[in-house]
Amino acid sequence: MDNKVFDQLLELFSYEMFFSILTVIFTVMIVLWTLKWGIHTLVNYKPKYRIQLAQTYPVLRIIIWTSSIIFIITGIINPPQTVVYASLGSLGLAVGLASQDAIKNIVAGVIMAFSPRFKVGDMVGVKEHYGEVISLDLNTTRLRTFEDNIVVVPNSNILSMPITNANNGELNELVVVELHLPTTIPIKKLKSVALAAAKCSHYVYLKKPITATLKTRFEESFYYKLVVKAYVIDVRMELAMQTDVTERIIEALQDKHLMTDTTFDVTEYPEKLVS
Amino acid sequence: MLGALKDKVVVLPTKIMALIKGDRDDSMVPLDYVTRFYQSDYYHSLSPALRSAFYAGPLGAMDQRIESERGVEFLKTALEQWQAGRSHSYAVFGETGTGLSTLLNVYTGILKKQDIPFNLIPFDDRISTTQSLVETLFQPLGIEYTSSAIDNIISAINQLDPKVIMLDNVHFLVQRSVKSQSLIDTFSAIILATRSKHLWIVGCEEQSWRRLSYGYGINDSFSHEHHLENFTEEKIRKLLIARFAYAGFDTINGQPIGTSKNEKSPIYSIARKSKGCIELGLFYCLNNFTHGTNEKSVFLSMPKDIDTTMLKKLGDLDLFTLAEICTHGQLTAREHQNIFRCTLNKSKVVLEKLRVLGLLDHDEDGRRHDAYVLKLIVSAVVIRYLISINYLY
Repeated sequence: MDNKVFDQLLELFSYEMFFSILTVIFTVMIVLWTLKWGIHTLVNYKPKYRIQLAQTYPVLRIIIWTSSIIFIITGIINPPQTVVYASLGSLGLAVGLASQDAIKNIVAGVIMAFSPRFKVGDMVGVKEHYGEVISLDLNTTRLRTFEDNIVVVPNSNILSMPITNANNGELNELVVVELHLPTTIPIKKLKSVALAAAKCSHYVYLKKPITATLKTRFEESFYYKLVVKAYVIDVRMELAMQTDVTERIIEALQDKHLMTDTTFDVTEYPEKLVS
Repeated sequence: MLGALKDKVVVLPTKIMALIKGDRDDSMVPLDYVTRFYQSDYYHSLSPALRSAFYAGPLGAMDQRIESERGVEFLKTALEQWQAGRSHSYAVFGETGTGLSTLLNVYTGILKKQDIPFNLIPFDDRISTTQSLVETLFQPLGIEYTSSAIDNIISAINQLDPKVIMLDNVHFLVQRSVKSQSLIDTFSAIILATRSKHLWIVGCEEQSWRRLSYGYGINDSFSHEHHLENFTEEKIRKLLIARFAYAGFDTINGQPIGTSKNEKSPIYSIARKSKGCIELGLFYCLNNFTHGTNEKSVFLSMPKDIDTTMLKKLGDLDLFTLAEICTHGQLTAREHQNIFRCTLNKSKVVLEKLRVLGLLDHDEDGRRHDAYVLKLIVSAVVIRYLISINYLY
């Protein structure tokens, strides 16, 4: 940037302008805080639409910040064209070289805001991490795993990676419960007991179908692999439902004397109980 | 108009501050105030005549507590279809307090007039085995119980002369246990195999019916389902006005009783906020009531919304318990224990806690005094809240 342009740029700034810019930034922050609080209040009022409501905030935040920056440049600073071109060129070069990854993440964040891969509140899997999306920022996405860890994933990674989305904006989601059971249990009864036991779980969303499938597997000896698929009423109860359904199926089998301690010892094969 | 706008502008920051601080919003009625209303000093300070007129239950024909135009018409059509030889079966369901049992009783009057043989069989205890189901059905039908084999049951019912068989309180069929599917399958088989001879009509609470249908597919054995809608705003308004008239009042807010057409008036607003629940309307009337300039005039203030913060503070097990009570109609501690697989003491603690909070009551009117039911005055509010968080669907 030559001296002439730099002098022009300095001449543009004044205390009034600086104060105006601060006022705009402060106002935007208040508006965003109010918006966040309003959405939070609405979520409390309509918890069923938690995911849909939470999704609106990242989009609105990008729109508001972009509009404010445009307003600051064109409405407050209002620089001459030569300064704009020179500044943009220099800024672009500097920023481009210094922060390739950051820019990539921000661009990815903007793309995701308008073409979302998932919403805040969805249960997603990114690589080996699986958890609830708790925030969609401009450059990163945060997940809360079932171990209560927060995983921060750069947005550019999300655009380039396969993502699994368990509920896709809905409150209920499909939960898979797998059990490994001894082959001494009669197949006919096993499936019907499993389905009936799954229906008894208060976490199960009965409006959607429950299925049970059976396969045989061999590891040292033959055993059945029972897979029960049912929907949970709220994504946050996924693990609770898995545990509850597993316990109910085993209890039901034991109550019907289809599975006794001699045929199946939970303490002996803990890793085979639920995978 | 400007005055009203000014009031709202003045009130708004106070409301926002209250929400931020988590304080109680004075512009709303706390739910625990509603649940304890009939035990409050204020209620007991009201005149006996007023309390009697606003008694939270049906006041005979004056109330017109059933939607006769729709409910009875649906059943009359069912009768015509059956008489024309159609093999149909019918289910009527509606929210607690919408007058399902009253509807079936009114219908029996119609059948009596036409000399049509019928049986009204109310389930009054939880049915958990095929034997208890068959015994409950056979005794009023005059059939001797010999076996639980499905063919024998169907054959015995089919040997009866054609009649209308009405089953009330079908929520007692719901039980979240591993045996439920087989019981519902037996029930469905009986209905399907005998409906060419008999006209089956069942009445069930709405949430129970949804559970029976979504969970066990009971709706597949009924050719027609009728949702008894909640009371309309107009119906509730007329009923409340009739209650004021019954209490001896002739003007409301300075206007002759029943003449106000102003939709912004308190009586319209009360009908709107009652969410189709008469008991809530009765509460609003008494809570917003003051005597007017003379003893025959009444002044009603604008009703406030009900604050559900109390429900939001409940834990998962409490909310699941409320949801299961809605779907089962009522629960004993033992049934609660079986559903949630907790200790009996834990079940008692949860149910008693909800009773102390005023959300549940003991079933004093029914046979099962140890069972807990949802308090009618808050049922509409609780059900809507549970639907909003997906615990009911």
